[in-house]
Amino acid sequence: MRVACFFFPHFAVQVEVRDNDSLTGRPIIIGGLPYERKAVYDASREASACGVRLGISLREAYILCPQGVFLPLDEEKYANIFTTVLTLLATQSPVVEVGTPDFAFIDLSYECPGHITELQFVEGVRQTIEKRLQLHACVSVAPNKFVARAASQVARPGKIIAITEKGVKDFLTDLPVCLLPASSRILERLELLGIYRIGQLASLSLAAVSLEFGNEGKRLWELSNGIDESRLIPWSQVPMLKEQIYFEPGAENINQVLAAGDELLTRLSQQLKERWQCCLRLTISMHFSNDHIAQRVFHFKEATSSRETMLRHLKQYLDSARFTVPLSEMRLTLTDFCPESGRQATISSGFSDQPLKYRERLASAISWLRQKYGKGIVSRVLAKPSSALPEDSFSFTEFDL
Amino acid sequence: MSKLFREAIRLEVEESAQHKPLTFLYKGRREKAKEILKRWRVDQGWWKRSVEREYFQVKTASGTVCELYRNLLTGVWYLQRVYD
Repeated sequence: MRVACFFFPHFAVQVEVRDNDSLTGRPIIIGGLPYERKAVYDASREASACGVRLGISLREAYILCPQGVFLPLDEEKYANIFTTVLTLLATQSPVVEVGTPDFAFIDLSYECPGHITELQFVEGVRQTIEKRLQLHACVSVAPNKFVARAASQVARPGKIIAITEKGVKDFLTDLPVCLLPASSRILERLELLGIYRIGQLASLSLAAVSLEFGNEGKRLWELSNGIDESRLIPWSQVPMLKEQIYFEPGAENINQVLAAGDELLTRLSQQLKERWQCCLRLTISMHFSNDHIAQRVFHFKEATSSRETMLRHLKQYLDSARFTVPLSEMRLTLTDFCPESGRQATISSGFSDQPLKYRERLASAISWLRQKYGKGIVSRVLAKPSSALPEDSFSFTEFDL
Repeated sequence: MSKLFREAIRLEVEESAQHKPLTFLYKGRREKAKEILKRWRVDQGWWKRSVEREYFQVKTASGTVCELYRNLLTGVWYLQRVYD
């Protein structure tokens, strides 16, 4: 197997800089404003140089880097742009896998189009991403996923690292053990044992590593010897329906927001019904004029395509939220689709007041049909909703009143 | 409501490299798959009736929603259901 790994270092920062040139070269800290009780989601190299690390509190980040540009966290935007990257990669390779949000793998086992080498092909893909999306990737090509991932983390932007089957062990030898997918507890223990390099772990015997670290240790030993037989898990785009509205000037009145939400939900509900689908999740994103973003996800107990149900949830959210600044944008997203389901009324429900009379009339009608057309003309349908195969989901039996 | 074919209709399908239907010939008319609404797989063990199918719920360019499947054992495409 040949795998190419595309790693986008500081993906969120890259996206923000791409969208706003004036941020180039400035210490960017993404996660929210300094006084918010949130953590740093991503930081630029300039901010990292001041000591800002991912996961620390924003207040701490402000102390370390007061000149930093603090930006709100817009995960939806980053996810959408990464989906665009994956869609582009999917046009280049039949199998694309998403690692963590800033990693993507493509399968190179297939013949590269146009009889070019795999390096030329991957370089072409990298340049396409850079040209179309202005995102810079560190790229590597290796015989398996782990080696490709490790190589992309040490690759320089714009330069591709290619590793052959024979060169795997040599390549891994000097890399730090923190590149292994190990838990923090195991990494600590490795450090206590004086194992800092992957090569040191690989030189130990499998029995000794298994004895010390169990199954996880066995897996790490295999990886450090360049053995990774895991296959790429094909990515497929998560279907979603999205509607958004901008308020100019910003909306300050809840009723105005609710009316706009009603309009968006009417459109979304209509689209759902056209697709013969219901949804299980509604995401509400509110963007305020002071760059704050509030997001709330509702999971429905029962799948729905009803505008009223979704509007009730939106109203509930708006009633509980306190808005201190005008709202500039609202986005509503529906995900987790499933087919429409409904229960058909029983045949006698329309005659509930006189069921006996109805049964007699039905028996008489069936008897007449059988006399005229023969047996088997009227059947009862037995539904088997749990059947995986649609043609087995029902069967016909003799109708017997 | 939908029409379910107990005996699925064999189809001539033009598919992508990822085996997604692009166009298919039904009742002499070539229908273009505009959007794949849903995709799932059905596997049934050999102890019942060996079945491996990949289903696609497809919306065609003419607005019809239908369910197609590809028999993974033979690679042949079938039409299973057409929605009203």
